[in-house]
Amino acid sequence: MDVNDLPLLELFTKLREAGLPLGIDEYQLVLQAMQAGFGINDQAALKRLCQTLWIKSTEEMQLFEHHFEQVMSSKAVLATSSTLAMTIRQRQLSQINRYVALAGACIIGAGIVWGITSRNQNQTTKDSAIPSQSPGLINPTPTPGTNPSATTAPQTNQIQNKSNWETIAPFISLAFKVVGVGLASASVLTTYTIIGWLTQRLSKQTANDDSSLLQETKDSDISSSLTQVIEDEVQVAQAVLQATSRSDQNSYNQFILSFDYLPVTQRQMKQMWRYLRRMIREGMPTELDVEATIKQIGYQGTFLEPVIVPRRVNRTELLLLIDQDGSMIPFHSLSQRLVETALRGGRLGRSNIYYFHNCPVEYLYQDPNHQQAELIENVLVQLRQERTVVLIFSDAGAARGGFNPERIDLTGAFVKQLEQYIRYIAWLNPMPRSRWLGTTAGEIAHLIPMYEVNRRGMQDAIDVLRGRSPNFQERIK
Amino acid sequence: MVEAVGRPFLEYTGKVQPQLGERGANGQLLYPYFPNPELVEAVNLAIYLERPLLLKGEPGCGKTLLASAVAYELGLKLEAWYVKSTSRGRDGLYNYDAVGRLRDAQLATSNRLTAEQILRIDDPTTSTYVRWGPLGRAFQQEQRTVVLIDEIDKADIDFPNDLLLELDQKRFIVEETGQEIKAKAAPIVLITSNDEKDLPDAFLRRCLFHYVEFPSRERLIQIVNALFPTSPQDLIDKAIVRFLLLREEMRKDKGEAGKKVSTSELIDWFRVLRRYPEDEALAKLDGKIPYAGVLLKSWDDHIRYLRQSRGRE
Repeated sequence: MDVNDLPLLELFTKLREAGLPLGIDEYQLVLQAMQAGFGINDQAALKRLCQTLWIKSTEEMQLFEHHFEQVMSSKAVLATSSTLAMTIRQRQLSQINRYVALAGACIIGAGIVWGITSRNQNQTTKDSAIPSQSPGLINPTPTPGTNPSATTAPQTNQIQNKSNWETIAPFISLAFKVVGVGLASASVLTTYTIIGWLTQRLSKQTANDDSSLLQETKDSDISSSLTQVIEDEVQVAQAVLQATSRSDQNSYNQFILSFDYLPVTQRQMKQMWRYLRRMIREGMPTELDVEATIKQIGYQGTFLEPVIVPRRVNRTELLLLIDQDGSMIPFHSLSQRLVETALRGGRLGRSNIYYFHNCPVEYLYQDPNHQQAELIENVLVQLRQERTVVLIFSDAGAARGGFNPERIDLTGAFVKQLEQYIRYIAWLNPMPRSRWLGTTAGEIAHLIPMYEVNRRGMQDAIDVLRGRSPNFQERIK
Repeated sequence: MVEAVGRPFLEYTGKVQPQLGERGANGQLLYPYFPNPELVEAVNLAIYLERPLLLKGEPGCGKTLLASAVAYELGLKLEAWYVKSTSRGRDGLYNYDAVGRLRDAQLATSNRLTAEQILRIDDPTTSTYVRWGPLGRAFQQEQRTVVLIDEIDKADIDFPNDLLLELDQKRFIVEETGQEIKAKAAPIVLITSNDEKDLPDAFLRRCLFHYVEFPSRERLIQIVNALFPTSPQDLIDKAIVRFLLLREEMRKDKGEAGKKVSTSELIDWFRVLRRYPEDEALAKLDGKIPYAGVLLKSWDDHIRYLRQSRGRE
């Protein structure tokens, strides 16, 4: 089978490129479900099936709808999926034919043979009906003796019909033979011959199945390598952008898709926040500490009462400082995403978010519009030093590329003041590192560990905030 | 009840409904449930593929009730696990009464237990100190069980991840005794989430997902009809028109994400309306919303509604 003939592969690849975390497992699930008869009636049913299996949130649903419409308009997928449906029906039909043929032969032959063959047949059906768990197998065959590699419609018809005839013909000739022989002697020997012949045939069928499965395993390898090409999510985002610029969709769809064009996806951000944790036992003692209890029994010689300890909770408190307006305007959606993910996805003890412009001087603002001001000192005094980490999000002057000694001094003074109240600090810069050199940002990067906003950069920044940055001092030298 | 045995695989149709006033195995009242065809399909997929089905949708659209409806139709046992903010993954599997074990050991050393009791303590197979959770019980059933994990997003963010292995491989080990529990029949797992917190990716990957839509007008009429079969059709129609109007206003006002009046509130509201003679109730529906307190749950809604109804007069 050609890779391109795999049903729904185009849609699957498109969705993967759009950033949905789909793997071979998910693809296999759809095929498995389709073979059981789900989603093969019409396009709407197919859509529902894919939605149920591949989509995990309402946001992804919109992305899915977009790609589904696009792929379906090309009709290619519908064709393959309908052929799949057809082959399934044909398989059922040919299965029936086969049973009829078998039954005929066996009735004429001998009752014993019938018993054995039907048992054999059942067994093989059962064996192959168990869904294959190995990830390499894309298309576990549900029925024995069929030809799963044939999915192109007209050819399949012929092949199938021909093979049906081929299946039936020997049975008929056999039947005549059996009748003849049966009339002559009806000896035990004949029965054995028939059993031998049938078992041979059955084993041949299973061998056929195996080889076709092997073939498909190869195919699936190709398709998995095809889909794994896209590794970095930055490329994913670019692919989305290209997809949107190519298609002249309505503005709504374009908005949704281009909204995701950020160097770090929302999921990744959330995942990264989750690393920012410092577990401390705090609050009401509710958990039984078995080890301590046993130790206590050792001390006291007898068990008096269990040792109860509080549960572990994350006590990292985050102070997120965001540079707003001016050269940061292009990055507002990025900072907004930082804020959202920190509040929702992260499991932080507390997160405070403040805004500033260019450099925090005297005041920090609670809202992006700089309406509610708060004295920097007041903010800092409320921090709990042993728990608080600070993340600054700013281009540090790299966007416009100027060199501003005053800004460096001000930032330096602020950082010095800040460091008395907090544990760790890191800086995220939306501009690429290559643009920092010779600008204000280049100088500030010597004061504070500064990272680009991408997956690696954010990981490093979080590592710094966790107190794991042994190489910062070396790096700036 | 439909005979579930003898079919190639279990299939939920959504058409078998309990009679009014029928009670389930635990004595709770059963209600009819009217799923739309898409939901039925998703449930059947989950049953067939043996994967958990994650249900999202606005509050009150019937996510939780689905589990008992499925269990009723298929004639299976239902294990409900209502997740709390303090729940942990292991609670659904088992709890080990370490303190009880300790106490018994203590009593044994001071010779205050009978020989029989001591035997019971030492026997690892009886799992005297293990209390099974809903999943733990479901795994040990001969037949498939419907397991409802309600409001999974209420718990800690790690909670769903702690269940991955158990839901995937359908087995777990009681660490204290070393006993391995392997599912005899894969449970049908339905999970509901109110989207309060995001669920981890790894967990989502293993689930099927379905967004439960709010019932359509026809379906609402069907629901009210089923619950109050003796009610006059006029009243039902009018009440539902009024209800949907209010819902539409709320949607315009608060957008898709805001809290809107839901099915359960409609049922409560209709129950109140029904207590009055038909013409009186009909007359009430023409004016201001009667018994608005049943429908409007926040002060904001009240004010807004009062303002709107004043504008209409």
